[in-house]
Amino acid sequence: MSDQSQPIVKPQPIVEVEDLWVWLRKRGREIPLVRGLSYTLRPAEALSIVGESGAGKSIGVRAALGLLDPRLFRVTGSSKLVGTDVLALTAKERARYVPSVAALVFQDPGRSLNPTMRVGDQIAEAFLKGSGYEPGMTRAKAEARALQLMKDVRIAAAEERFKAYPNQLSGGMKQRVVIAIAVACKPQVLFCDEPTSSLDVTTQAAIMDLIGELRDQTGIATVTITHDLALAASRARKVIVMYGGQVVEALPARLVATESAMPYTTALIEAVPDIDGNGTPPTPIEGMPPDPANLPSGCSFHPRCRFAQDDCLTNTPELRVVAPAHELRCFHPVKDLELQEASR
Amino acid sequence: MLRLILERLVQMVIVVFVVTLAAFTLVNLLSGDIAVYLLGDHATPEAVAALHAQLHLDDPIIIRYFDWLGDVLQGNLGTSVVSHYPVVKSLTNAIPPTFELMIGAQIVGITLAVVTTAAAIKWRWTDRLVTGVALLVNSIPTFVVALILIIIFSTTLHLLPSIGWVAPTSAGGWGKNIVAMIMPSVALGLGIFPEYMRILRSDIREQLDREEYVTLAWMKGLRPTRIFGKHVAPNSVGGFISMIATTTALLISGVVIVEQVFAIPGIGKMMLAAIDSHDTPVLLGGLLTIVTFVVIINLVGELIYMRIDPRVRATRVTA
Ligand SMILES: Nc1ncnc2c1ncn2[C@@H]1O[C@H](COP(=O)(O)OP(=O)(O)OP(=O)(O)O)[C@@H](O)[C@H]1O
Ligand SMILES: [Mg+2]
Repeated sequence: MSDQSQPIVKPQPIVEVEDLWVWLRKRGREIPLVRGLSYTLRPAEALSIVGESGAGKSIGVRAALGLLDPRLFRVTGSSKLVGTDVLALTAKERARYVPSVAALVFQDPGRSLNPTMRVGDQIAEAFLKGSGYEPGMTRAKAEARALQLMKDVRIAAAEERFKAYPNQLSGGMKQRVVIAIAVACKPQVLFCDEPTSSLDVTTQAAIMDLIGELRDQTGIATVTITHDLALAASRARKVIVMYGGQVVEALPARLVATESAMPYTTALIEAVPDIDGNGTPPTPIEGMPPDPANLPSGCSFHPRCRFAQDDCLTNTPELRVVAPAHELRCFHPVKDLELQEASR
Repeated sequence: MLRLILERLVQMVIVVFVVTLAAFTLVNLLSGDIAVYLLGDHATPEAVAALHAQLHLDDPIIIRYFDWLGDVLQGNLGTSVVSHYPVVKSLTNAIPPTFELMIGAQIVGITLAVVTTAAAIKWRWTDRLVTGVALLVNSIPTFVVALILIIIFSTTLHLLPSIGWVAPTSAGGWGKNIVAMIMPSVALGLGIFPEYMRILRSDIREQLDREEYVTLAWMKGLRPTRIFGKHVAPNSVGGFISMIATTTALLISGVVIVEQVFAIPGIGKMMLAAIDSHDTPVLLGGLLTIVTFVVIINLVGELIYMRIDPRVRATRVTA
C-alpha cells in the first residue's frame, strides 16, 4: 500500500506488517486464522481494520505484537515495529522491546484491569516499573504523573478514583484508565481492539475522540479494530477490510463511501445504517462468516456474494492494486459491474 | 458484611441442628441396645429395664434428642456411659491434639502446593514431574502413606519418633511436641496437597492464558516476577483461602485415620473408640464439635476471601 497523498519524503514507517500468517494448532492440524496480512503505518497515521466477528482482526493484531502463545499458534511473516521485526526476537527480547514501542487497548475494559490493584497504582506502575520509566523516577513522581494522566483522559474526580479498584468504575472509566496506562508507556503506535464495542454510544464517541486527540497531540500512530465500517471511515485515514483471515480490500478512508468495490465491503456499507447518506434502510449480510477450519474453495466470500460467478468458485483471487492506495481481492468488483451495466 | 455474618450464623445453626439430629437418630437406631452392650450378654431383664429407665432409652428418639439438645444448650454434653467421665472434659483434652494436627497438615499441604505450583508454572518438565507426583500421592490411601513414613523415618532411619502426642506442657516442651507432630502432619498434608496444587495451578494457568490484565501487565513492560507477584498471585489468594476453608471438612476423615495410626489422643480417636463402645454421648459430643468447627471455618474463609478480594467485596456491597 502506498498512499500518494503523502509528501514525497515520507517519515520512516512505525509499523510494517508483511505477509503475516497465523495458524492455530489443533489436534495435529494447523488451521489458518490470518492469511497474509500486510500493512504499513507512519507516525500520526490512523488505520482501521474492519470485518465481521471471526475475521481474524484480533488474532492479527496480537500476532503483530508477538503476543500469541507459540504452543497454540504458529506465526510466519514479519512484523516490524519501529524497524525491528518483533517476530524474529526471542521471547525475552520481545518482552522488553514491544512494550517500549507499542501499546494495546482491549475490547473489554471489564477484563483488562487487574481487579486486585488500585487503578492509580496500575497507571503509576507503568512509570515506576514499566516502559514509562525514566532515570530519577520516584514513587511520588510516578503517582503525580499517573494522576495527571487520569485528568488528561478526562476521568472526573481523579483524586478519588486514583484509589478506586476497577470494579468501582464504569466501563467507560475503565477504558480511560487502560488508555492512560497505554499513554504512560509512551508508545509510538497504539493498537485498539474494538475499544468501544462494550460501551454505550456517547461513551464510544468520547473514547474515539480521546484516541484521536492523542494522535494529534503526540504523533502516535493508531491501529483501531472495529465492526463498524462507518466508524472506521470517519475516524481513520486508511481502512482495511478483512474477511476469513484475509485482507479483501484496502483503501483510503475518505473513499470508502464512494469507491469501495469488493462486494463484501459494499455489503458492509449496506449493513450499516446510512453511511452512504441516501437513506436506504440497512440490509444485513446474509449467511455466516467462513469457518477457518473449513474454508470455501476459490474466493472465501463467494457463498455469500450476490455477484459470484463460476470462476469465483474455482479460482482464488489475489490482492491487486486497482487505483492509487486502493487494493482489492475480487474478480468482479462492484464498480466494474456498474460500468458494464451502464455501457449496456 | 454484617448481614452476611448474620445470614451465615442462622445457616450454621440450621446445619448443626440437622446434622446432630440425623446423627442422633442414626446412632440410636444402628448401635443396638446400649443397655445390653453395657451390662453384657448375661444381664437379667430387670437390670436391662432399670438401665433403660435410667438412660431414658424407651422414650421416642425425637424426645431424647431434644432432651440432649436442651442439655447441650446449657453447656452440658452429658457423661460417657462407659467411663462416666464428663464429655466436655474428654473434648477439652482431645481438641488440642486434633487442632494441632490440622494446623500442621495445612502448613505441609499449603507449602507443598505453593512450591509444586511454582515449579509447574516455570517449566514444562517440572510441570509433568510435579503433576505426576501429585497424581501418585493422591492415589495412595492416607493410612498407607502414614505407614510408609513410619517405616522409613522411624523404623529404618530412626530420625523421627512415632510416639503419638506429647503435650507441650510435659517435660519435653514444644520441641518434643513439634517433633512428634511432624510425621502425622506430613501424612495428612500429603493427602490434601494434590487437590490444593491442582486448583492453584489451574487458576494461575487460566490467568496467564486468558486474562487480559496479564496481557496488559506484559504490555506495560513489567518484569516477569513483577507480573506474577502483582498481577497473578494476588488474584489467586482469595480463592485459595476459601478453598482451604472448604477442604477442612474433607480433612476430618484423614484426621480420624492419622490419629488412629499414630495413636494421637484427638477427637477422631475418641470418636472411633466411642463407636466401638456404643458410647453415644461421647460420639455426639465429638460430632457436634466437628460440625461446629467446620461451619465456623467455612464462614471465616468466606470472610477473609471477601476482605482481600475487591471483586467480591464490591458485589457484596451492591447486592
Ligand atoms: N485462543 C484461541 N484459540 C482458538 N481459536 C481462536 C482463539 N482466538 C481466536 N480464535 C479463532 O480465530 C478466528 C479469528 O478470531 P479473532 O478473535 O481474531 O476474530 P475477530 O475478527 O477479532 O472477531 P471479533 O470481532 O469477534 O473480535 C476465529 O475463528 C476464532 O474462533
Ligand atoms: Mg476481536
